[in-house]
Amino acid sequence: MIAVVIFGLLVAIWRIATKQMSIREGVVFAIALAYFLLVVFQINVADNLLMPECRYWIQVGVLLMGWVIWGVDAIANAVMRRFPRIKIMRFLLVAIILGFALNDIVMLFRSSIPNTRRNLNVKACEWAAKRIASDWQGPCKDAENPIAIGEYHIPNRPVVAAHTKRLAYVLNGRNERTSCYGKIDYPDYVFNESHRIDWQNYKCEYNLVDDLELGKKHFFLYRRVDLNWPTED
Amino acid sequence: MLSDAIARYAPMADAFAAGDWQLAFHPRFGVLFQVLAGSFAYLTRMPGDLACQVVSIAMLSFSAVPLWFLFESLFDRRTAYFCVALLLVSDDFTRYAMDALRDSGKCLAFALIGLGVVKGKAHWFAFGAFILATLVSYGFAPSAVFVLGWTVYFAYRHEWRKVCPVVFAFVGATVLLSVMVHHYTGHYLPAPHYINYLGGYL
Repeated sequence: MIAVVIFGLLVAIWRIATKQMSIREGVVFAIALAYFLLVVFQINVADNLLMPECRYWIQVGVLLMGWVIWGVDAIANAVMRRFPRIKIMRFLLVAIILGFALNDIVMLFRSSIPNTRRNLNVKACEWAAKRIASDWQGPCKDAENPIAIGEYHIPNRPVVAAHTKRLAYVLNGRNERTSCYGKIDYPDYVFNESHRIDWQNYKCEYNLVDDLELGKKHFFLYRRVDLNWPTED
Repeated sequence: MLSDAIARYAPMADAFAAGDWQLAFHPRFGVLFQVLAGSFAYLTRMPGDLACQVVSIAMLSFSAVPLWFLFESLFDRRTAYFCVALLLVSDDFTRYAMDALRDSGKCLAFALIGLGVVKGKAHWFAFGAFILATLVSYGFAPSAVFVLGWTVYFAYRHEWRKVCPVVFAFVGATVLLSVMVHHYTGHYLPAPHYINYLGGYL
C-alpha cells in the first residue's frame, strides 16, 4: 500500500505542476498531507520516533486513491496511443486490483493451511490454555490496579508470558508487562519454545509443568515456583 | 490478530460490555472504538475480540460509500468505482480490519472529511472530524486543524449553518475526551501526550 500512496502522491504533484489540479482536489490533497505531517510531528515529539509505523498514517492513502487510478489511466492511455492495438488500460487496472484481491485471499485462507508455523502456534496456544486453566488455583484478579498512563493494564490473573498474547486473553488473564507502573510484573506462567525464553528477564524461579511436541516444534510450559501448588501429573 | 487488539481493545470491549468503566477506557486510546465494540459485544453477547473485528471491518466497509461519492465528484464515475475496488482489496487496509485495529476507522473519517469538503456538506465533515478526534489520540490535533480551517473559511463567508454542526461535533469530542483523560490523569486534556506541555494549565 505504501507504493500505492507514493504513486498517488507523485501523480498529485505532477497534476499540480501541470496546473491540472482543481481547487477542490487541492484541498483534499492538503488534508492528506497535513494529516501525515501532523501525525509524524506528534509521534516525533511524544515518542521520540523519527518515522512512525505506517499503520498510524497509511489510512490517509484513501484520499490519494483518485490520483492513483487517474495516474494509471493516464499512463495506460499514453501507452495505447503509442501501441493502439493493445488494450492495456483495462488490463492494467484489472491486473492491479486482481493482484491485491489475490493477496487478500491468500492471507485470509493461509490460516486454514495445516502445519504452517502460525497454525502450530495456535494449536500450542489452545493446549496451553487448557493446561493452565486446569492448573491455576489462584485469584481471578489482583486486589489493586494502579493506572499506568503509558500502558493499558488490567488486574486479571494469571499473568502469562507467551509467544502469543492470545493465550492470556483466552484464559481471561493478562499478559506480562515489565515495569509498567514502577513495579515488575513477573508472569505466573511462561510458555514458549525453550530456546526463545530469555530467563534473564525473570528474577524468580520457574518449574516445568508440561511440554508439547508439535511437528518440529517443542513447546514448554513453566510455572512460578513460589505459587506453591502441586502439579497434577 | 495483532497483539494490540488482543491485549488492549478486546479486554476494553469486554469491560465495556460488562459495565466496568474503569477498565473500558484508557487515556491513550480514545473513546469511540471501545464504545462501538463494547456496545456490539453487549448486544450480541460476542467476545470482545470478535466484536472489535466486526466493528473494524464495518468501519472499513462503510468508508466505501463516501469514498465513491468523493471521487465521483472529483474525477468521474469510473475512477470512483476503481477507487472503491482498490480500497476494499488493498492488503494493508483489509489486514488492519481483519486484525481488529482501530485504524480502519480512519479510512471512514478521511472519506467523510473529504466528502464534506468537496460537497460543502457540514454534517459529513463534522461526522468525519468527530470520528478522527475520538478514535485515536494522535487524530485529535489534525482534527482540530481541519475544523479550524473549515470554521475560519465559512465564518468569513458568514455561512453559520455550516459552522455550527462542525463546531458542536468538535466541542463534543473534546469534552468527551477531556472528561475521560481527567478521570485517569487529573488533567482536562484530550490526550495524555499534551500533559508535558499543557499539564500545568489544565
